[in-house]
Amino acid sequence: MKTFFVKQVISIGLIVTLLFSSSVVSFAQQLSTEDKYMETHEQIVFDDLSISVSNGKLDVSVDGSIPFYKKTSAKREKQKYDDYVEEHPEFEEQLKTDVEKGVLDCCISYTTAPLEVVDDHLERIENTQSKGLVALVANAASSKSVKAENSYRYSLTLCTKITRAASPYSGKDKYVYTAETYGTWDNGTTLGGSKKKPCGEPDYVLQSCPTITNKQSFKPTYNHKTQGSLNGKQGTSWWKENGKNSWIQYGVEDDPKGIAQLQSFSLKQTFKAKTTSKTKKINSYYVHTYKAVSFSVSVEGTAGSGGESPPVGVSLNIKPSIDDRSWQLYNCASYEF
Amino acid sequence: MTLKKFVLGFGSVLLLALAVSLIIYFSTTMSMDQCVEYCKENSEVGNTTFANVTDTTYKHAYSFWIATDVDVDENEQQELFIFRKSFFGKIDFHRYKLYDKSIYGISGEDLGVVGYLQLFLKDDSGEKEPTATLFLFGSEMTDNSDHVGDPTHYTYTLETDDGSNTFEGHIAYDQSENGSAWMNRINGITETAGIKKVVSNFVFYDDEDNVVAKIE
Repeated sequence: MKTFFVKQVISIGLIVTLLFSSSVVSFAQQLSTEDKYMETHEQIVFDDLSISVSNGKLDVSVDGSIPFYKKTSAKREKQKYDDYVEEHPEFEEQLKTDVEKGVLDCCISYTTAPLEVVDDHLERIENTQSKGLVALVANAASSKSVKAENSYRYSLTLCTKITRAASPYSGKDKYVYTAETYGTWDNGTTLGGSKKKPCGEPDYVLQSCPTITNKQSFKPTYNHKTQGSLNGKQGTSWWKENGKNSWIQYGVEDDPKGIAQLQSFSLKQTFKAKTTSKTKKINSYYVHTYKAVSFSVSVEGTAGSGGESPPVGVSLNIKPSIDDRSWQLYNCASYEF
Repeated sequence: MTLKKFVLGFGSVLLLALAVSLIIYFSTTMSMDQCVEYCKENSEVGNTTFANVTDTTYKHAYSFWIATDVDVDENEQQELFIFRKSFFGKIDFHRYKLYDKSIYGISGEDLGVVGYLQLFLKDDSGEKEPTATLFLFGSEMTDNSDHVGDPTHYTYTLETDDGSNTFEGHIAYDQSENGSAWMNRINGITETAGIKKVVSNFVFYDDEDNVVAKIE
């Protein structure tokens, strides 16, 4: 009887061990390139939030007229918004300006990556660098919710905002959407670091939409005047590098003279779409280089034409000619349109 | 017998579901009287009387409640609550849900005289309209106010793709047992995708053309 009991305990122990190790392997296999590095990803959908400007002040609250079963998720979105503006107070002003200009914000999606200085340039931080196996598994299980970037001095946030406008065109295109991807550096970080850490190589910003776009624009901002302006000069400070009907790649100088460091940027694409109630994706990418390197971009997916039901999204695969001279940050905004 | 049991059982489940739905509907919506009570309880400055303006442009009609006892001398601000009609299926029980309300904003004498709220209303499908609506509102000030006269008209700048022009708006006070209030709205505000309609620089005048308030 005793032997039987011991055997049972050993068997259960073995099964538990097997299950745990297979979970670890499974989680480890799930770690994609994005999971390799520390980052936080979140998305806020504004559909069930009421955004208004009242007596000179922005007010964001849960829409009181939504059905009761949507209240919990709406409260969650509101909490995410509060958390985001606490970290990025400039977004509040941006949202206020949008309301005043009658621009309807649909959602924002953002990915924040902590950065560290390695050999006089900024690099992304690998998840395994400061975390053991247990933490790694916990991280994979908690869906990339690493909050450790707060303890790092440098970080980059890549954010994509989707806005909706009435279509000025007749026909079946109900709305015109604008996808704006912008980058901000926390703690006064500018990409390329301080004056002592210039990165003369250009960086790249890319964005892909599910539908053929009809307008594209790019605007960088430097912390000192370059080419006579804080926005730099097209063709010198920034330029259109590559792109087709639904995606675009801009090149941008960061710290070209050791003084004018890139502070922020904004890339916009506009496209028409009718509402299909199906989730589509806007993919955006930031590529930072710290040594001379070129890139090839391959495209997956075919863009839908305006007014037709577009595919889920068009994604880009950016491959550097030489490894270890650049890193990328990716963000994906998913929205029903 | 079995069929009878099935029909009875199915009917009971349906009735129960209907009863639960009705309870949820009535507990999450408000009658007009309850709307007023809600305004009183949730007023940021303790206003107790509200005048009603109902807009029936939409099937899901909006009901606007404007505070009529704003004390400008105490640096209070005008206050507006917006409710949206809620149906039970397709049945109209004349019940509402709070949609939005003005908040105590940037302090200033002018905002005691005129309040404003800009937002995106929902259409009947429940989808937010792609253009914004601006509400200007206020109430008749009490006689003891030593500030200024009540606004009777205003000018504002309208920017479109064709340029910038100044327009004039007029204020009509609604007299009711709950006081005297007014509300004007400007629809279709947008600045995207080839359409531009943006309003700014509001200047309000009394009946003697004295400037009584400005909203930049």
